[in-house]
Amino acid sequence: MSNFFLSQGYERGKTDKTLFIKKACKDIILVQVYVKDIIFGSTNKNLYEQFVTVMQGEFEMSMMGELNFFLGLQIKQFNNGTFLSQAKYSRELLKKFEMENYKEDATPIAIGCYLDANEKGISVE
Amino acid sequence: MFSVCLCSRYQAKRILKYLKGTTNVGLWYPSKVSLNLVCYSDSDFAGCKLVRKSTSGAYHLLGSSLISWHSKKQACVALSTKEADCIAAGSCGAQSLWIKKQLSDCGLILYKIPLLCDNTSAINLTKNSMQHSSTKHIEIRHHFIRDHVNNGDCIIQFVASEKQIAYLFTKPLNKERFNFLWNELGIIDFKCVN
Repeated sequence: MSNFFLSQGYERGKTDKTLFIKKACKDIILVQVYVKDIIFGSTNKNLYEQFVTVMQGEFEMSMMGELNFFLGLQIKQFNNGTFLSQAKYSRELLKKFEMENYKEDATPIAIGCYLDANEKGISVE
Repeated sequence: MFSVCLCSRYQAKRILKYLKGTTNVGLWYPSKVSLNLVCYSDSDFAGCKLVRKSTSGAYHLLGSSLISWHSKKQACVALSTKEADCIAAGSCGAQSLWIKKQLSDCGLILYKIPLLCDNTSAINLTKNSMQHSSTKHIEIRHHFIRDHVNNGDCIIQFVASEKQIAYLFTKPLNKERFNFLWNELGIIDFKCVN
């Protein structure tokens, strides 16, 4: 796949080898490949539409539409920004430990709380 | 080898309770903001009661968006807060260099990335080329960050403790302070979006 990108005029990222960038005048399109998923973004609608048609022509791929879930992160896009959260993951975690009805806490650790080893404890691993 | 004590069981529960209150909280990345990279680094001194190692905490903000963070126990024991902060600044600086390289791929070239630290002696340590006997054992880290300051890759600046957002990763805080730092980091509840 990377050869295909390179032949299409994309440049490979110098640090992240799975990032492909194409610059055209003032516009830019970024393509990030993660195993079998691809996320991409562009400053220009034409570049983006071109990318979708080329990819669907070359590979058996489906266009999932606007990004809203990636690597366990929920992504919500608005005109004035983007919101990232792990609401689904944390709800599942609470369910796993049957803690859905517990009281909430504002901070993850109490002030003056020091964690120490339990010297009398039995090793579990 | 791990052994779980009552204290940490209580702590694990507390974290889950905290998670319950923050299920819908996430990171907000506003559009149309300037792209300046600012890094914050802090350390707690000898926070680990078992081996007396310190914890480094660091944040990297691009504009007002949080893009990278870490909270990690340091690999070696520091003899003073200055050293602990210097080690923390070193790992924070390394990460900012990686981000700088990553951003240069996208056509954004950054120089003199400000690295904010609340310890003046740690800052002086990175400016002064003198060999201090007290820093001989952390020599490599010390030289690493100083070298990058000299190259103009980053610049270490002082930040007052009240504005030090990296506290969130190194010290237990009260609710008010905790929520204030949240805001600074762009962490908000989904209800507040739009």
